[in-house]
Amino acid sequence: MSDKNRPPEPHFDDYVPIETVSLREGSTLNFDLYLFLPRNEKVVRWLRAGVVFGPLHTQKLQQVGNPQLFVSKDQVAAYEACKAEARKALGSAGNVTIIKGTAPEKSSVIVKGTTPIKIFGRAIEKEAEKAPVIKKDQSGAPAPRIKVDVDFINVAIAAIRSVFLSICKTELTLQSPKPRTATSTAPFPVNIASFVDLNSGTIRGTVGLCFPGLTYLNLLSAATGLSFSQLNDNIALGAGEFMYHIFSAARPGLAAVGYSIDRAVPFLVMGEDISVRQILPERGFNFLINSASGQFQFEIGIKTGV
Amino acid sequence: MAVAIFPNSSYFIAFGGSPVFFEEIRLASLRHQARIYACRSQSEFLEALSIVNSPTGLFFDGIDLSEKDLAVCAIESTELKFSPLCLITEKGREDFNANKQARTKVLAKNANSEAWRTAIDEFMMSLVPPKLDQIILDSTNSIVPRFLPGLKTFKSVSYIMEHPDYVLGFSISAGDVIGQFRAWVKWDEICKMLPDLPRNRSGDKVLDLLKESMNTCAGLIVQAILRIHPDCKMRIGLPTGFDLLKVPKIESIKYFPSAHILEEGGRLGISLGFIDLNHRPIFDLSAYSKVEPEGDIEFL
Repeated sequence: MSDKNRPPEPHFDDYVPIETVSLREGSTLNFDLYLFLPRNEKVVRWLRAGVVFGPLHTQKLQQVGNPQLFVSKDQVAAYEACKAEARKALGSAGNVTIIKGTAPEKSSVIVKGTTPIKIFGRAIEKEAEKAPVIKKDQSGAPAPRIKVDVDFINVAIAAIRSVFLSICKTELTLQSPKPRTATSTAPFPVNIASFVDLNSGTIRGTVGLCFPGLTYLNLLSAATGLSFSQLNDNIALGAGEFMYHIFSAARPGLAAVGYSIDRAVPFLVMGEDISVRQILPERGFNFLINSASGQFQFEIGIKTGV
Repeated sequence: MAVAIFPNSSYFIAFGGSPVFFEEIRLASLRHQARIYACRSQSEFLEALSIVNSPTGLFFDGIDLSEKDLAVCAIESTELKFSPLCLITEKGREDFNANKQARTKVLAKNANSEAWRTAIDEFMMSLVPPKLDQIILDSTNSIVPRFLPGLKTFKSVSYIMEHPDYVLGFSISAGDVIGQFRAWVKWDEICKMLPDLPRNRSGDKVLDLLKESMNTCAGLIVQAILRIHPDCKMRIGLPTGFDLLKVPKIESIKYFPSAHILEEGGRLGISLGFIDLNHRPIFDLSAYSKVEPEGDIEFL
């Protein structure tokens, strides 16, 4: 089939993320259920309307870590009706399965220390105690956010952790996010960093992953199974790949909480001791990350309300 | 050659034997900011094809390719329906060209550096949508000298400005189409045009002026594209600036086939390219015609 005749591929923006899906085992789906594959950036249909949702489906979802599910925009009404029915049944029947997507949960909030960190005037610890309240527009999609808050950070943290766990088999410990200031720098010399632009109707900015050379080489070795002793052009692209995976993993989750970020391509920089202070917008956050491969930093620089 | 696999990155593959060819490939990778995977033997070539799953283009020196190699190329170009294939070989391959929709440029035996350079530059420019360079030129000439009055007019060139020491970048997005706008700057030369402003490279004044001029310029370019494709929902991100004296290496993981323009004094250059992340053809800009900006400087 030539490219001209090929039907357009399903596009992520045509689907509405499901914050919490209520599906009754034994009930017949009256809408199609979709999954987003971050590695390929593709939306694929998982179950067709008409399929009887059963325990095997629940089990399958649990096996793959309860991924975010989506419905197409034209089937939101059918989904809402199904959800309402399931909620009614929740109080009485024992055969209701609540499947949570990967939208941030309370347990995924990583905030240490006793002093609440204020981000744009909002105490992050206080926010973290509450489940996210997502405003919806008429189509059922989350209303666009104009400020970056704890929900955004939770999704970013979850994406960073899952990417390094799946690619490098490395558990990460994230220190408390710190607001960016005009003078804040990484506590180590940064030799390689990758960035991706955040562009949406409401927020704009850049996020960066900043590595000391040795940490990067260790992480790359863990990811590829190859041994690298020197940072050079041939292997620098891996920094962009890490960022690409994080961005792809975070995008659906961000959409689910109201941050509809455009697709983007990471770029990377190399140097002796890179200062990212002037590269990113001043407002935002820095996270210091500890891993078995060494420390590195994740930076979010944003400008909101544009 | 130990190379980690980076599946989301775009490469070119160069395969050949002559030193002249490889020197030109090396220089071309710098001129075009393209990552070219250079192979000097058949085994390296096959290894490259197994690693690089979506070559943006292929360059071949004067080597008689085996049928096996060609079969692999055919699979890459047709089954995976990836980007254009360029064969540069003294023997030509007319059948291959006709049947596999490859674009072939045949060079003379023992082609010299200049012939290689021209052929590679022409190939790189053939990946850019027609009239994109004209859109950039018209937008830049109409607005940038109003911010920086000492600048001369801009002209189209085949590759990125040489020896810049500062770069400002903007990302542009329109659904699956992503754009990369880069302004290449010779900082001291620009500062000479602005004697009233402090020359500090990390200072705000000169940088602010550059940011505003490039932001407005990028805005005009996007406006021009939106006039042709009003539904593409194109928008511009925030600028990121890099002092290339401190950060000598900056590279995107994808290759953006870009149109390039340069100020006649060689002090400021602009590159802009687009890719479609789903490998569909980039929008058609051939309907472009110049529209004079209205009123005074427009901050977009």
